[in-house]
Amino acid sequence: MVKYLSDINKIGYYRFRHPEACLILDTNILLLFLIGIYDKGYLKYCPLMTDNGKNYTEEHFDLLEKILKIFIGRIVITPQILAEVNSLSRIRLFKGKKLNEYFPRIIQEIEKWEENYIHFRTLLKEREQVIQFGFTDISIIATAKDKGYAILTDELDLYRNFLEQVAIISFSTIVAYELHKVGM
Amino acid sequence: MSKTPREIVLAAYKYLADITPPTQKISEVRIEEFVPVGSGIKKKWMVVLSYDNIGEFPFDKKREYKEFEITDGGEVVSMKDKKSRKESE
Repeated sequence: MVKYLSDINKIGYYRFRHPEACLILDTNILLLFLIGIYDKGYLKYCPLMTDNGKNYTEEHFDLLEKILKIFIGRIVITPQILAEVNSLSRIRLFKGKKLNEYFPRIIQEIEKWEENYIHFRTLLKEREQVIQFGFTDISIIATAKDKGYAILTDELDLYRNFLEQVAIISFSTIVAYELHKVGM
Repeated sequence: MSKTPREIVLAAYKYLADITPPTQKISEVRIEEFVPVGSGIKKKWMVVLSYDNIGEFPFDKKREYKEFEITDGGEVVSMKDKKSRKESE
């Protein structure tokens, strides 16, 4: 088993070995993709991409597309992720006409994906984790554990805490290896 | 003069190796984050390395995360524990 999914080849191999596995996208990653498909050029100016220190640009979007192609037809989100994407997009992105173009475009993509719902009482069985990570992150972890799906995140905290429990891909590690060509 | 990304990461790794006491062993080093910070002459790199810190006994193993700030010229400016949110509280 490939334990650390630290480059595109390992992700491809993981997918080959687990043909039924889906990929759950974390909120930041989903925003990178959705903003990118609407307007790649906007990424480097977008406050949601710069304020978090990640400074995602077109090349990050292209890399993300490569990863998503490995899981084509097998992308999963949770209602909590969708709610975060909706609020952040409305508060921090475009206004007026552009917002009215953005949502129809992203809906075209979201329609292709699956949603996994977990009741909040189930999430609250992991009360301490919910307090530490929030409902959204724990909905992702619960889905991954329940269904055996992989996770793509850029949150180091989430990655390091659950690395031994679920298949979790750190987008930051992939960026280091694939864009900057550095690995140990 | 700007260093290559590989040289930047190696600067972090060398710094870590230099300050690690001989009684400790580090293994399974991984690059967790490699992010440019700032631009022009103020450009720096934020590198996060993780590794297994093996104590006196093999079972006494702990995964540690260190964050390095490195100039574009490859000089390590700082290194600190990358604490998880829980540890930071």
